[in-house]
Amino acid sequence: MMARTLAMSLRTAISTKIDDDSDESLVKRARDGDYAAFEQLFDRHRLMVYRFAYQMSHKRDDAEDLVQEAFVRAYQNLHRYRDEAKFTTWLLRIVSNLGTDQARMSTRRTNLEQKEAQGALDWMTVGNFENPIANLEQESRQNILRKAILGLPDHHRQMIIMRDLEEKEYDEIAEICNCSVGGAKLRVLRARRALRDRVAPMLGEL
Amino acid sequence: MKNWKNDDELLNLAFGELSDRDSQALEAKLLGDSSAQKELDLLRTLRSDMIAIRDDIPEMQFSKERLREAILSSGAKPARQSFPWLNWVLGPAALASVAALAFVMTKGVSNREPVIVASNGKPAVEQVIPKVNIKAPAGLTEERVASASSPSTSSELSQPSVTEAAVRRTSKPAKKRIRGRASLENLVASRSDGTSSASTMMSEGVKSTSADAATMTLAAPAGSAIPGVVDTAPIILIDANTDSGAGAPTATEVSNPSNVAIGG
Repeated sequence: MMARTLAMSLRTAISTKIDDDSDESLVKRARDGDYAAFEQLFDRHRLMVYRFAYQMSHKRDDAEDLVQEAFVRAYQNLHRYRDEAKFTTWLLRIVSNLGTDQARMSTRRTNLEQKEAQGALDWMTVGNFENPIANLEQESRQNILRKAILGLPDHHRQMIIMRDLEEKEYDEIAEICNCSVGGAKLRVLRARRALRDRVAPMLGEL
Repeated sequence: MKNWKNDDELLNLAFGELSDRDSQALEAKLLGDSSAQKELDLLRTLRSDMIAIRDDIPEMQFSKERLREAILSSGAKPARQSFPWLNWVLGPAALASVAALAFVMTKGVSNREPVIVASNGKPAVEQVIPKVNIKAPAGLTEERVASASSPSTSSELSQPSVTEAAVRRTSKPAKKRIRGRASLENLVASRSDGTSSASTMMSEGVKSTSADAATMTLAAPAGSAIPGVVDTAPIILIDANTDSGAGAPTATEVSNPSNVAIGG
């Protein structure tokens, strides 16, 4: 009898601990003014946000600016967050909206040439030295692919990043894009078509 | 690729969107189609390259301190949960307040007759003053009547006088407006008598009643005349023609006011 009571209290304590560490409870604490809780959320999800932001811009400074802006906005709008959606979904929606900011995109495009120059330098300094020809082909294809992804319209690029680079599930993509799962699948398919149409001619030149 | 009748299936196959059974069925179908096979290989290479660049991400150098500075510099603070339903309560209340204020400002000045409050602090008493019949003084002669008449009184004579009026009396006596030469003593005497009327006065030998005496009325507040009350006193009309003997305009008594044209 006593052992059972002990086990139940232990189970309750563990579940309480888990609940305290959940995103929702951290958001609640942050709403109440606990900044440490928000920093915990930042620690937990900043890499995910940074990856998404970097895939959008392919420039570290821009990606970090995007991360900063996204978390500042999340902090300002914590009261808008509803528990029906996952916190990461809500956060990625903020990043997605920020990523489509035209001013930011135009700034990125002006820096595109610098990025390409940096990419060329990387291509010359890294790789498998045992098979330089294979490395050359692979690096060329990847550069073409990066260029093609960057050249996609924003809505197509976001679909490629979410589904093919970050491997998000369709239901989460649907929540981020505020559409149905079927709509998300259709958007991803269209984005892949657009990417294939861009990549295929360039690959044919290799 | 463009020759393949369903390139979406190829995309789904290359990116792993199809189930195992569908994938095997489609691959079996593509065995005899070299161009579709070539296209499928291209898409699979694309997919593998995407996986290769997925983790090609430089290390992030974004720290908690930078985030804290950004939040502080933006002046952001954890926003409390708002109560949107409160707007639905406060909005109509504010509108009602504004409407009430506007109504008070536009219609606040009442058109009602102000109540005159007694100066001694007692509440005002509404009192109906009875009709006052004024008897003309006995010494009033025709000559005096004729000489007292003036063009301005002709119009007043044609109007029915107020016989009974409800006035709010204060502790101060109502102001009496007396026209003509009738003295206050005569007025008091006639009020104490109380029986004689203007028609009686006429029957006593005054052919042309003094216009001043006929228009002698009690002053009443403006608009306090009771509508519909028709004065039964005779009406004295002053003619434009002058009397040859006295040299003053002649006067004519009319008992029925329906035949009198004002301004005529």
